[in-house]
Amino acid sequence: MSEVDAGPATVVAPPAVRARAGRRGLGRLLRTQPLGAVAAVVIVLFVAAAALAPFIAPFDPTAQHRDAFLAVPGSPYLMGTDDLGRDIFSRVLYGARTSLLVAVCTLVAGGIIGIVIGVASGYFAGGWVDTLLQRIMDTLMAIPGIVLLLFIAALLGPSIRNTVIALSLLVIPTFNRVSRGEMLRIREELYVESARASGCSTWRILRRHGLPNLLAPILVVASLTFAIIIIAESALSFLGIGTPPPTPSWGAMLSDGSRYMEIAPWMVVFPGGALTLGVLAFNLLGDAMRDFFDPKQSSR
Amino acid sequence: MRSLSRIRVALVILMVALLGTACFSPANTGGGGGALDQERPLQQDAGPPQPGGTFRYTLPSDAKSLDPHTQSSYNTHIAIGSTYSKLVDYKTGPDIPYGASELEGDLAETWNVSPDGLTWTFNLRKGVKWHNTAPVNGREFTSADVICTMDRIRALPGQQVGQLATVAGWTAPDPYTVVFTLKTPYAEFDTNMAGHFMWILPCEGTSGQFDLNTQAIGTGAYVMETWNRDRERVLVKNPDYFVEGQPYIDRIQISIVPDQAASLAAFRTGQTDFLSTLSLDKTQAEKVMAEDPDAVLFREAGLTETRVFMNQAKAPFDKLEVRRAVALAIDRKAMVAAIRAGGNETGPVSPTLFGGLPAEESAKLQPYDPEQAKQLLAQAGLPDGFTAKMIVTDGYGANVVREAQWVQEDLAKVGIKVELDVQDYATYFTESWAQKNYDIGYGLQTPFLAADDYLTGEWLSTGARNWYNINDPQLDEMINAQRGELDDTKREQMLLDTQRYIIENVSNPIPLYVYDGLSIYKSYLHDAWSHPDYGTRHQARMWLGPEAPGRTG
Repeated sequence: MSEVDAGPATVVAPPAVRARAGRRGLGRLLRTQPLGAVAAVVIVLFVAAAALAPFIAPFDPTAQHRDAFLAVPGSPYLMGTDDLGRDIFSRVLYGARTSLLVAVCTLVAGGIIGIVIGVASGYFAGGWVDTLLQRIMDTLMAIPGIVLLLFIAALLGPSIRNTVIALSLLVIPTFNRVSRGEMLRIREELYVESARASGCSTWRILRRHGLPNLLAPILVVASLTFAIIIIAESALSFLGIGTPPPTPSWGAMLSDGSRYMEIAPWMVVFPGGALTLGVLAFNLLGDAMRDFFDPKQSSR
Repeated sequence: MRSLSRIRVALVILMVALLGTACFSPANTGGGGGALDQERPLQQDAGPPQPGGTFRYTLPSDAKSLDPHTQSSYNTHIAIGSTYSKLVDYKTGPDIPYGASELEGDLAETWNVSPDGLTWTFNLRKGVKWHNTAPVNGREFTSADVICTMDRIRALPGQQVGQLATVAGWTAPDPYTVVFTLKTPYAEFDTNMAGHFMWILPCEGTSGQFDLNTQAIGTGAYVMETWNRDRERVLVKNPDYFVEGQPYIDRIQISIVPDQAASLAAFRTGQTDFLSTLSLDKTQAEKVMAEDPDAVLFREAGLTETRVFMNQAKAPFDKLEVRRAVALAIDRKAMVAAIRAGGNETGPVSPTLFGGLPAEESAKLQPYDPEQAKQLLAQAGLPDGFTAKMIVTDGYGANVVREAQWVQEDLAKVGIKVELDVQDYATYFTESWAQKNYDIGYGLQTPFLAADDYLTGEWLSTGARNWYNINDPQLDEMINAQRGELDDTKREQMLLDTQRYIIENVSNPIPLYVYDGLSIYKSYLHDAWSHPDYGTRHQARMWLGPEAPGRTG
């Protein structure tokens, strides 16, 4: 059984015990899920690269070096240049910023809305609130993701903000379903019954007992959804309705590079590699966390 | 779960291997590869034309409507260019330079002008049939159709109205004669009738008996069999075409493929026979020509102008200093050399046309001078520059978006920060540009075929394509004055002076350059002598050799 599932959340361990438990948990994660640990390291590197891009990138990612169109990887352009002479290494680094920015904003916006709807719906399951909210979610889920994305992105126009709006709508049902399912389970737990019997308000029950117990499944879903968002953002940019030029985005770089695939393969290989690696890392981490938090897996 | 993880690890290793190996081969490109210098002529010694076969090609975007009188978009006119006919049209062929303005009869067999230059008489071909499609049903074309068409042109606020600006009226004394009476003598009236937009429509269409937006029933070489907007157009041979023996090709299939890479792949894998200039850039052309020794490169000497245009109703573009600063901030010479396969700097009228400013003078009047641009911005009260949104469309192909990014970078160097708004073609053309719903934009301009078309259409305060809010009475006077001048030498001088005035006192839209377009044909395609005119009448004379795939002829 995982730490977050271990009984009522009101039983709070002293800080020193929690710290030891955390270290033990990390140690067990490394021991039982080595691939997940590698993925976590890759993600940390990605985040660091994105955060430190202004210091690491040798050039401005939008600066055109007009004497070096489609330059071969080497010095001074480590990953070569594109069809406007822009340094691909710098663009890949800044592209990570765009991808992570979009993913984090989407997860925060879509995640919060999805969780709030899911928790409310799960706690009041069976009532009209639940029915109404879930039918809205069913409708959103019934529309194929890419169609919904294209529709919203085309309607609002290409920009990072609009991409976040489109992607948020896409992920809301996922968070809703997971949090609602968990909430249905949690509301039947004895400690919730006790809290209710002792006169705790609904808000207090949800805040103190509901949300903390949702953490594990939400973390797993967030990690897997992160990868989906990165791909979706790239897909929108590839189609020209995501991040507008010249802002670096892996998808837009792939789109530009696809026209020169045989002439200048570095234009697609490096952003494509970064995209693959990033998505793979988030997927592996998501898998590892799911296994780690799964009581059946951890008891083996 | 573990086996899945192993697969993922293998994928990571594979990706790393790819990164290490695929990217470090020497570039086989850059500027000016050899392949484009070895331009191969279209085959002329292939024997007599052979009928049959299907001609297939792709275009990056489609028409919004097929009505040639309400739409001045390139896409509309290219879509109906083999379906409708004009009274007269441009002559093309192996002995005629690309873009030459020599005319020949199309629906008119002959035409003449009275000695006073005021009466133009067009003698129509007899026995010309409309396509056999309801409600026209293959009836004979007559002068009544010309009258219907001209009446509709005058009733609509389209670009075509400008072509008839000098005309007082028209009559049809018999079914095969049409007479135009001009208000003032105009030596190029027949050229106007060959203009991009002067298609002759059946009276059934102009009177609303069929929907001109979705259906095209003409007298041209090809009948439009199907039009699935944004997907495909299929044209089939008109068996009753008035030129005996033509057209040779049975079927023309045009697929709308916005992705340039997909268009290229389709050509390379033999799924299409032609790569249009809109689906091709210099580097790609070099690659295709290097790979396919039988491919035929056709260089279309520049007529299409690239432009930066501004909405003078919106600050700060209402200030001449700002517009002039934009003009001086752009390194157009380096831009054309880097992005296009060739071209020349241009003034408002393309330099190869009668009355066009020579490229050297255009370059001199609009030099690349970022320092002066900054000074002008300071004079306009904007020493720190400003921000604006620049519209552009990918409907003209990916190169135009590349060019917009070049302009964006140049403007940023003088402090003008523009955010690119990449729009689909229909939105860009119909809702943004034509509705004057923008701040600043970058795009291509219709390659008009006479100086007057440019000036009256775009710079006259009442011009049909004055989508910039230009209103300069002195300029109006200059444009109108040159129209009435019959002496060629004097008129040419007036045209040149008008353009100098535009560059220095209006500076909007800012002409950058005319570029050479490159198109590539499969070697089995013969006699593809096109013209920058929007029509595709030359397709009637094209034919496919026996080695063309799927050829049935």
